[in-house]
Amino acid sequence: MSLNIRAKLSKISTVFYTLLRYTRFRIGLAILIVMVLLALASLTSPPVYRRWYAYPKDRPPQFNLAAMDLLLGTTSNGRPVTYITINALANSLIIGLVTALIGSHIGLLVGLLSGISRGYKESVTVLLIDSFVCMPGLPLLIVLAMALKNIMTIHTLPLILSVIAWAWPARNVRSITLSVMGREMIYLARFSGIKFTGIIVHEVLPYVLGWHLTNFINTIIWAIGMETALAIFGLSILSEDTLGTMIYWALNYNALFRGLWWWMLPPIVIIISIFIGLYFISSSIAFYLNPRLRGHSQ
Amino acid sequence: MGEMLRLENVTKIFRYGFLGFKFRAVDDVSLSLEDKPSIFTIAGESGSGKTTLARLILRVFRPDFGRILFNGRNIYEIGDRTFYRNIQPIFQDPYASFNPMQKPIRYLRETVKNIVGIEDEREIDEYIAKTLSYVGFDISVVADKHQHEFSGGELQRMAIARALLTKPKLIVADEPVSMLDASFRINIVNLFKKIKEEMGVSFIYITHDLATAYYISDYIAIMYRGSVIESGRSEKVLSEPLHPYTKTLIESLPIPDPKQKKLWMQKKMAFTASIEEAEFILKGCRYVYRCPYAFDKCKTVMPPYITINESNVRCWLYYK
Amino acid sequence: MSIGNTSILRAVDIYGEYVVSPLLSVKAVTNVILHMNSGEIVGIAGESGCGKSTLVKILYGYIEPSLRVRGRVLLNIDDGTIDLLSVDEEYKRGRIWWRYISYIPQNSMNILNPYMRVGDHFTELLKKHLNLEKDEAIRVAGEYVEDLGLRKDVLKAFPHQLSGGMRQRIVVALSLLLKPRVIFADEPTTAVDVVLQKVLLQYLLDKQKEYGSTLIIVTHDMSIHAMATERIIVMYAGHVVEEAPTELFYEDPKHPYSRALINSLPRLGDKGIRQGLAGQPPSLINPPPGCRFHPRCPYSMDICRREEPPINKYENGWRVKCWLYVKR
Repeated sequence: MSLNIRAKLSKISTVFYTLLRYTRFRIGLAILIVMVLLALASLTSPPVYRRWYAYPKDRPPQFNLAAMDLLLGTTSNGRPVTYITINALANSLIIGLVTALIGSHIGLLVGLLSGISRGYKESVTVLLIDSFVCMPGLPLLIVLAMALKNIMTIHTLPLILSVIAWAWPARNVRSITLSVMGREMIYLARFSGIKFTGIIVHEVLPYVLGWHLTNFINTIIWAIGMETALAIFGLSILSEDTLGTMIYWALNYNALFRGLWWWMLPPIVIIISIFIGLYFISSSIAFYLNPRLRGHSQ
Repeated sequence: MGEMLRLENVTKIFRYGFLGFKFRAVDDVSLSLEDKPSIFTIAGESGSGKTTLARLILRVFRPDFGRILFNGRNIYEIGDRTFYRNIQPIFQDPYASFNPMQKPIRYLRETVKNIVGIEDEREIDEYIAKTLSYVGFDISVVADKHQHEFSGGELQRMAIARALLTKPKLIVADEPVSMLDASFRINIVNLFKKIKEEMGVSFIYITHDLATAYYISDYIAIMYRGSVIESGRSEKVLSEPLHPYTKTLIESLPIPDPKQKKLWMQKKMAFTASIEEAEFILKGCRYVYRCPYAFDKCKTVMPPYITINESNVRCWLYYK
Repeated sequence: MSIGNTSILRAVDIYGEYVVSPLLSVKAVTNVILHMNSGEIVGIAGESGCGKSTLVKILYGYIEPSLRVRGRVLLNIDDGTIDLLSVDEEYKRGRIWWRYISYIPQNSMNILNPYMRVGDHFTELLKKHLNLEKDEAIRVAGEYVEDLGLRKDVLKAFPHQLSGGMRQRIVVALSLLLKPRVIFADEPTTAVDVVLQKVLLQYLLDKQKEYGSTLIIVTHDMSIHAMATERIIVMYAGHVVEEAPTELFYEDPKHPYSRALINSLPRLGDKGIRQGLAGQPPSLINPPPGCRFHPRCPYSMDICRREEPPINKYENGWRVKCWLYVKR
């Protein structure tokens, strides 16, 4: 058993090293590592940063070794932008990660089930997946967020996002499952006496898992973006710092109009970097998984 | 002499899209295979339904009408293990028939474990080694190889070895050599012949290549757009074809002998731009658009099977 | 059009390799010398991976970025001789391709532009190469298509509206539109049913005769070579191993590989035992020393393993690259 695990690990590491050869993957990974380190740095933030007017108002960024808190200036509420930003980053990453954990795994399950079932079961799952794919996500989430505003925390928001998030991964997994199930190797496995569950686990899942990983990453991107969109409407958890609420408050205090660029810019830069980093990673994995694309690279 | 396999009016309907039009990929096919080692070729061009027919026999698809009997029992009443023990497949694309993420040997081991019923790992390998050496492999060489380290021909031999492990009565080989080089193709075909003679295994050999069909098969059925239009002993059908389609097929087959060039070039082929979909949904004979002898009846009524000199042909020309 | 033994295309010392990485390359074509006369039908035979498609691309002057080529391909045109491997791409596109030499690729049924009507493919060529006005081009295209026995409506159709066989026929017609002097057909009928294969082949041969063009058919199918070609060139692992008049070749192929190829072909009406070749072609990244066929050759001798065989010449332009025919 341990041998098996070691073989699996070595396989994963070879895949990782192959991926590292793509420049795109390296850039993405570097950005992601920086983001995670910044998010971890939020653990060092002093509790006082949460209080309003603990610092002077509207200070522009200043580089002063004695007052590192003011590196990125302060907001109109007298709070340091540095700490808000890294905490917002951490919270947004948590929201993205938890949504991806819930949503993409529901997607994996439903997609697999839909791909292997036949007859009315297939029709029902397809109808379900397709209607959630077609449903406009933002309006639905706005309604849900308004209704559930009272119980919303960093940990329950992902649950709400997952209501929509599972559908695209499910559709993706279903189409891969269908294509694999129709291949001759599946018939051959069946004629080798391998049981249905064995076929799913050993023949179908290895194909699906790679795509599941890209789905997972894409869901993180989607969830962070969606949270931001909700926040701009004022429907996120406004008492907590997330990348979205940061933009909301900045807008609310007319930061842009008043020239407080240091309040507005960090969340935008960070959102864009996260998007680029994760997108590079997910697209290089997709590139790796798609032999047709891979063939053209060299 | 009993029958090993019998197809009774087997029909498979496919449809395009959710409410798209339906067509009969396999239409009212009746065939029988006697219970002695023989090679039965099902020949036809692309879109003739030969692969669908193979998959119906392999229980990949379920017929919409008709039934398929193996040793007198409907194949859907036979238990999985008995079915897999008696009927085994070989597929067209050797690279697609083994999972690239697993070693090919795994499927041989699974076959022995699940179907032959040997549990001990060493015994399994001994059992596999015997069959592998029969197709010319050494187990110590192939056991650790991945799919991509084999050539197409080698993988196809692995697939044959796997199929032989259960000592099946019947192997359904779906275009097993079409992806291989000509100089290697004949080796696989010869191997089939050897297996038939030495191990008493019957084959259903699906192909579009009439030359290899003539070379190995005892019986042949020619398919066109889902129905079998002519069947019988292969020498008979291929040397004295009855159906106009079989005749055209044989006339257009290039011959690897430049001396026949003149004769071959003299027989001009007419280009018919008919649409496949239209042919599939015809009520009468499917060949009517291309047939030079077609008359009114051909368009409306499907011809019955007519027996002439032991061959069965479906053509109104021979109806008395 | 001049017919006879005038040379139209000569290939001198062709090497072609696909660069995989700075250290690795696939030597697809090695040391090929060929000449084609005008009006003849030449077949290039060989199995998958023997370099026949690469050779034809080089002869056509179509060099993919990953392909590195040495040698010269000399083509006779109206005003002299040009080297297809050294003239620039624009010149080939504007003056040579389609007009002097044309190319029917593999899977030709899928090469038509799906967003262009079939007729536009014709008129574009006519406008570009013959400087015809649009109306004139449409008229010429219409006449040309009717001459083929197709209805004029075909020109108005989009490629997907036609059957595969029809599209393939259109591609063949398109490549013959400007009456080229040399026609390359790379596996023209491989993905096609036998009946349609014969239709296409006969059409190609009829047109070749009419225009007096040189036709080069590349296929692995030895039966097609027997039925269509006058001269055959057999390739193995990047080398030309035999070159012979087709009719004599099938009676008595000289190279052991050619012999194995011919002997492995089953034919209708003959149930005699056929034997194939064991083993597989060598990797072209690291080809074996000496004769590249020696690992599979039943007659291989010591020298075959060490030195590359010379080319032995016989009458009728028969050439064999094999140590068996070297008198010592």
